Amino acid sequence: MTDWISSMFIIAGVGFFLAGTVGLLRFPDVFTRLHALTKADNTGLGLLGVGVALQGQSFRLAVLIALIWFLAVTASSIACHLVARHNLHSEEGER
Amino acid sequence: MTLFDSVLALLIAILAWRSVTAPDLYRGIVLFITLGLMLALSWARLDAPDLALAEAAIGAGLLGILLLSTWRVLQRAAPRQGSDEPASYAVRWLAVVGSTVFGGTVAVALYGLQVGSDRAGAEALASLDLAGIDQPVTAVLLNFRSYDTLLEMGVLLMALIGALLIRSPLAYEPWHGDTAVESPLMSVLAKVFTPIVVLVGIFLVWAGAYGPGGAFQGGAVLAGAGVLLLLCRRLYGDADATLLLRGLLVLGVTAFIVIGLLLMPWQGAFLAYPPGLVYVLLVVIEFSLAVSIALSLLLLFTGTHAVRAVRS
Amino acid sequence: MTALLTVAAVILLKLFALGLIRIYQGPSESDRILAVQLSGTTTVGILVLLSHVLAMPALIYVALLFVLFAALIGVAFVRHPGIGSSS
Repeated sequence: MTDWISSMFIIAGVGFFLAGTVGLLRFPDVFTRLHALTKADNTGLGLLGVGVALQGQSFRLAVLIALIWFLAVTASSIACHLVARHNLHSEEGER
Repeated sequence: MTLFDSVLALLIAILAWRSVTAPDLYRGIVLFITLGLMLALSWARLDAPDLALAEAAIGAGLLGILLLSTWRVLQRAAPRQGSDEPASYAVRWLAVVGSTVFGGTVAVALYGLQVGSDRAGAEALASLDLAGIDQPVTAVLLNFRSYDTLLEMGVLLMALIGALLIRSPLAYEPWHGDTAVESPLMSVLAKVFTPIVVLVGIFLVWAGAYGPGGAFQGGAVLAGAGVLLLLCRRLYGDADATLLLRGLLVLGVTAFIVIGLLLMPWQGAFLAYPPGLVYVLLVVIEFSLAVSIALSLLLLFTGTHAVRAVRS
Repeated sequence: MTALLTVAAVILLKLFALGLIRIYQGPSESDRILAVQLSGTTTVGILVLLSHVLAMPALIYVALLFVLFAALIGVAFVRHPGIGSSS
């Protein structure tokens, strides 16, 4: 039963990574690509982490994966905010 | 797993090739960082988590940040100089001949090499009980092979002195202005992220006693915390080093030598530790090494003699 | 079950390779650094999977380091480390 649930989570997680990568390649400009990226970061890694944590069956592993996910969400949102801001300012500078 | 390994090997080759042939500096740096990611994966596949940690912290992490920051400085200092011009034919041919001769010599030397049975590793693993520490890599680095590690610390100090002599500082003076990229989230980074980075760094040093980790990996992460504070403008490079700071820079080497010398009358040899105390001593040495490594790497980043906190 | 995790890791590695196209094409500096951020997250995902497949718990710490340094790389990209006090 756990195996089934964890498989579902992992497949869904990989799906989000796929969506993020396709978005990064197909979207027309930096800001829309940012949007694709954060989906992979947050949801993809989160679902993948839940899947692996269910497999691992250890509390320590689950806590570590949760910490990684929390840091990834924080880091990616801050980094993306900074990149977007930088891009906005440098575009204004060019005009 | 074979498929994974072959894709990984292919990616490493392509990324390495592209990062040296990239048309401009920035693309080269970006490719180098992604190469670091793949290298860490390959160390993981080679059953070497210690090296994967080192690669993540130093190769892809600190080095990538140093390169990006240098690129930003270069960009502002000199928009475009003629440095992109290819070298003259004579120089290029000299490089071709030189590297062919070097490669040939290495090939000949390797061909003539007698490959003995790999006894050192097996012996080290067999005598792990004597080391007093459970983690094989730390036991080898700090006990069986402590001369090497001591000299490596000397090399790191020399690198720092050399860098301070020749390079111009990267981060100097407290920052004013530059409101273009000033964002309220920077203070969140400084306040929330830095303590976590420091905690992870200390944990990795501590983890070296029983699992993958150790002074080099932990020290690099601690240096990363310092770099984060520099980028958030909480720290800045300073020209005058205090005695305390210099003391911390040589703390690792000093602790190593002093402990080694002090125990000589009882142990009869330099850098030999009594069995009962070995764990405590190695942890003390490991933490002093980590402090020195962190500070050296941070000063290598700034290119200054000291760092100082910005008083608000 | 390990088979599924391995397949997932291989797919993520291929997605990493696909993401490199954005680094190659650009066009802007921001596009390239975004591609690096995504490849970093993908690598973290691969490491989390591998730590279970290869039974190497230490790989979780490698993933942790990549997450921490990904934030620093993002900051280093926008930040001028500060030579000269104002410009």
